[in-house]
Amino acid sequence: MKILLVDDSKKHRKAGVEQLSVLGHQVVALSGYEDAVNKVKLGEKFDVALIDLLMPTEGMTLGGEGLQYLGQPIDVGFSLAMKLALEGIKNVAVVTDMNHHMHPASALMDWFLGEKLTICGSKVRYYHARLMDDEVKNWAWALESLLGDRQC
Amino acid sequence: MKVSVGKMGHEKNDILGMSIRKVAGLFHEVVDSFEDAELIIVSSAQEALTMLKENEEATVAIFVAPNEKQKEIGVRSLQKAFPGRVDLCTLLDPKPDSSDKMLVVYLMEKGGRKVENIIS
Repeated sequence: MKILLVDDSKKHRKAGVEQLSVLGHQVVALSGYEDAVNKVKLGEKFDVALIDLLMPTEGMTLGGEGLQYLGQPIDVGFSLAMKLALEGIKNVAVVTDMNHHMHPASALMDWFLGEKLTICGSKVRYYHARLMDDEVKNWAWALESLLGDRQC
Repeated sequence: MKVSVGKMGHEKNDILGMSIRKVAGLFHEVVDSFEDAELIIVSSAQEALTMLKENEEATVAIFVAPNEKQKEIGVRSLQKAFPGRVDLCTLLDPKPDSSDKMLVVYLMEKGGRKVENIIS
């Protein structure tokens, strides 16, 4: 499968590429949500998207005074999941470590844990990341959960 | 220190970037790949954000011209979001109450040189 992985942390991206490539998947790992949306809007097709929840605010969508938020963490995973579903990716999982409890809006992700959401015909799921021994996200677990619809 | 200098303008020959590379080379080892750099110099706040994510060990310095108020707002935000990893460098004298540095002074000090009254 072709997988779009979006996470601002280099160690999580690297782990994702390693874990999922070993399983035979093609992984495109990006550090920012604007790149991800642009790639999909330009027509690149993906079977699955695995994305982080909290990521630094990027510049293209900010104008003028909005730049005062550049780099600040936002719970973009909510919007990005919807956008990627709207753009036709059929399986989307938001995979976050516990840092989402440091942000009042992203902490609300817990409302959706284990819920089977469908957006424009795409499956969207929210997961607390399982961590490997080296504290990187277990993306293979997330993928298996998404495709197998495991409760979390 | 290993220093990488990004593209500084839209011009094909990027004269400013070439000049900064030359100056940086007087005090540092200039490297081509930002992934190998300890200090990355860029001219846009958005590019700085990308560098901060792609090389989590590096310090990123953003070069801001006097009329670039919006860019400065973005840089200030990055300084809050990535404490200790983002520096603002100016072309002319920085504001007296700020920790900003003129780019040449910044490069010299990062290279271990003491700079006193470079302007006067």
